[in-house]
Amino acid sequence: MVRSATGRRLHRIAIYGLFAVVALYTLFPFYWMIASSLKSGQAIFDVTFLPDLKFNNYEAILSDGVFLRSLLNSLVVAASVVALSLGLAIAAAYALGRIDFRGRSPIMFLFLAVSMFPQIALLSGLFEMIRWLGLYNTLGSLIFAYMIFTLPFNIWVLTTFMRSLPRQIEEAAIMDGCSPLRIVRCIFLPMMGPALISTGLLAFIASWNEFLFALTFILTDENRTVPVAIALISGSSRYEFPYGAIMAASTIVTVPLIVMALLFQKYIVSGLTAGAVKG
Amino acid sequence: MSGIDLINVVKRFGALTVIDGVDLAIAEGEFVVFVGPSGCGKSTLLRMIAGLEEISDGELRIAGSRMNETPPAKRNIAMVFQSYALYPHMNVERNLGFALETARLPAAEIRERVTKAAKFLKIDHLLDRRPAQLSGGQQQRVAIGRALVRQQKLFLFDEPLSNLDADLRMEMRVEIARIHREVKATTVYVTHDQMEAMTLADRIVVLKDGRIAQVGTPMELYERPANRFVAGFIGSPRMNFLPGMLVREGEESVLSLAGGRHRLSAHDYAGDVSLGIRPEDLILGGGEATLEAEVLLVEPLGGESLVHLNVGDGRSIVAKAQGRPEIRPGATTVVGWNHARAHLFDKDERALNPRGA
Amino acid sequence: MATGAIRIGLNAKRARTAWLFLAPSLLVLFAVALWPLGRTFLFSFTDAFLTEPDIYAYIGLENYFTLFEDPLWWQSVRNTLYFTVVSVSIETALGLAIALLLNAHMSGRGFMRAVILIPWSIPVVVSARMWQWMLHDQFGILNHVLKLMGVIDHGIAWTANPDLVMPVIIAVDVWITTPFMVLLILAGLQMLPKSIYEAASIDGVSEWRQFTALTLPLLAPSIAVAVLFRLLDALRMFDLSFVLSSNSDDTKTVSIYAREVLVNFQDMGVGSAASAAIFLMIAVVTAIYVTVFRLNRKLLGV
Repeated sequence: MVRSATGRRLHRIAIYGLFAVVALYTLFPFYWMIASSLKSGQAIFDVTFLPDLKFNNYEAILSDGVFLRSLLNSLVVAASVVALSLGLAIAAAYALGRIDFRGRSPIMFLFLAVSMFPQIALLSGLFEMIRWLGLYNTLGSLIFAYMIFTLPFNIWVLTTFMRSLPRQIEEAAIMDGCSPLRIVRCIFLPMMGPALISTGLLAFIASWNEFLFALTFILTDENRTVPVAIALISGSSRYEFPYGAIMAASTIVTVPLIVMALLFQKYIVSGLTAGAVKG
Repeated sequence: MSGIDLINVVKRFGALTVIDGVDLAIAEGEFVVFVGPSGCGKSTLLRMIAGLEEISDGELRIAGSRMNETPPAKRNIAMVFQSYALYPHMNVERNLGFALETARLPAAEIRERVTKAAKFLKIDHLLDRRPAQLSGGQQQRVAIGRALVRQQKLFLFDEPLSNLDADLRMEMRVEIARIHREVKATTVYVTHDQMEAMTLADRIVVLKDGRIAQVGTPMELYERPANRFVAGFIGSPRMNFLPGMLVREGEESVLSLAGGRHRLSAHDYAGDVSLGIRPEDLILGGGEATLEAEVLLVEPLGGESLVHLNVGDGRSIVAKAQGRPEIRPGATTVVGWNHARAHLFDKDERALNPRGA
Repeated sequence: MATGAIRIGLNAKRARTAWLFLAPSLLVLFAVALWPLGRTFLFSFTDAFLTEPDIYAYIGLENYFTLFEDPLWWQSVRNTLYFTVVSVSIETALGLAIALLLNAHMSGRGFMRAVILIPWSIPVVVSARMWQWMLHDQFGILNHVLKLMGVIDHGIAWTANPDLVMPVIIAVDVWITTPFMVLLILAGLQMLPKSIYEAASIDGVSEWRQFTALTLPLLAPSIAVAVLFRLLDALRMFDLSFVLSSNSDDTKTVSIYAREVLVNFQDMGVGSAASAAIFLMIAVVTAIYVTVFRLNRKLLGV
């Protein structure tokens, strides 16, 4: 469509205007969270748009051992889930993506179905299983439970990716005497970098953010993960609700994710769409 | 001993039979080329020898032992793939040495063998590069090198030159011939290019629809094709075919074509035939037997020309002439041949020979 | 090879490798999903209590009768369905609009994509806290701005007012999950062949016609898949409601209801019955959806 020069300029201005609206809508809550976290004491209750740059809330929350502990817990859980789910999924994806055997389709379908299970439907059965494994009120219970959503998803995405790798490379490796394990480790793994990064990031985000299991399978403060810790911060009364502390804690939890989103945007999006479009 | 024996080998994919009972003995040190149109099963047959495809029926023996259930790595085979299949994340040196690394050979020996193979293939200056930084010809050399370092007695090539342009293809063809001369490994080579087959092979196996159409030396296939398919497949431009009728008349047979009758020595067969004559065996203006023809087109190729002729019934044939013949499209001429250079095929497309021949 | 040894074909060996590589994942998924699901169904027919899950007796469908006689259960079902339908509809429409906007060939697109990703990638709990603070009746920025603009004179208790709390939750969910829709639809948009638009432009087809006649039909599969994922997510929504308005019956979802019975009341029987009912509800919705939109196995890539 041919537009006049002024028409084009107006079009550009309109689009950038809408970009700005979307960005404001998306980002203002974050700005407000950070601004509020930097106001000290009673100042938080005065609505001023510029922050005071006081770090009292951060000092308070970081000197609180329980919060630091929950940060560490979240990190341990998320990292373990990433490592474990990737390790298992890579092996499974090799079988599903590269080997033509009877039962392949039903298993793919099973993984797809499991990824659609509502977590709540597993809660009582999982509760029993976790007790039986002796994992109740340990980080292990969460690492174990988070396999429900990370493992099928990773398997699905990595299988699609594995299938796209050239067949003759694998055959060359077979002729070179590689066992299946060595093919996966020395040939495919180095070729799968992007897929591993995106599935790993998504598994990390999902584990870092999970709430229902973390709330249910962990009993004591020192084993909690961050989302639960933040959800459970409360004051002695409605008017003493420590919003400053909550905003500071939220900022701390969010910053790594924002950095990740900005740095690895491409990988996260490609993982998401690979899972959805092909899965 | 590292010959290959295929004994009534069959490959089925579900209800589809791709290889339908192939019997073949390949001698140690022999260079055998599988050739045929796409879909004839030549690559499948090679992959069955490699162990990349399971054998549905029959037996494969290498050096006399049954190999059907032996995994590829234990068949003492090296293979070069059409797409080269180099490991993209490893440099040339590691690509070359990877099989030896897998076999846990000492590092010093790996380096020695890799260096030797690289020198032999003139890629020793590329050892630090990644496959993506190499030209097609260089990648091909690395792929061959990767097979060479393993020092196997058996080499398989799966259409190794089909991704190269014409110049490089010729260069690599010469190179592969040189390697075979020096290494003396038993080699099975798959191609759809009959020129590669003719120039490289000790023996050619022509495959059609999963069966062997003919096995023989290049010249045997050229001179005495066993059937019309092989006759048409080997030789370029392809052989001309004219329909005719063969009738016994006393001690002779008479061949009737659209443009005339020709007396031949006695054949046992009588009935519909096709006469096959290669373009290079057609003689403009003469020969023991002749046909009237109208010149359709002259294609000068430099040293020789292709003359397209209409021989009645709207049938056109191609003759190859030296230099540039002084004839113009539209002119009428006589085209002929000598009986010794003509091929006859019966209605089942099998080659016919005179009685006693 | 020794004569008389059983000959195992190469394909059989490959298949064996496949099962070997799959075994750990299958084992984990069995332990973490299939077995617990089975146990949930089993517990739903028992009088088990969470404190001593080993001691139980079968009581038939009694838990289901208890569940279906509880008006709160039906309210939570209504809440969940209402939340799902409204929020997914808005998210789809808004997601499509923003995706079309971001598909414009402008510099700053990459930055916008990263920006849009952020609300989706942070914990829902944090988003809930953030909005809770912005919506605070006395000190919230929203009420403050509305007062400055003269729209209201008293702060509105957004999360305490029964008529407002569900719309508020939907609005926050829209903020959180629209990005997911945007990104999936954007990926679909970027797969559309450019040549058909060039052909349409040459044929003089208006931009609006191009959108309705080309873009929407071609985009339908991408949107359908994205909506399915959102549906599944919305139907099991838990954390947003739990944090933003934990004690309100007006926003109680089925997941919150089930967990409350199971964990707070320790009633494993009825809690499991609720869980099983949710599972069946989601399975039915998925089945209907997949059938209606004929999202056949091919589209899902099985």
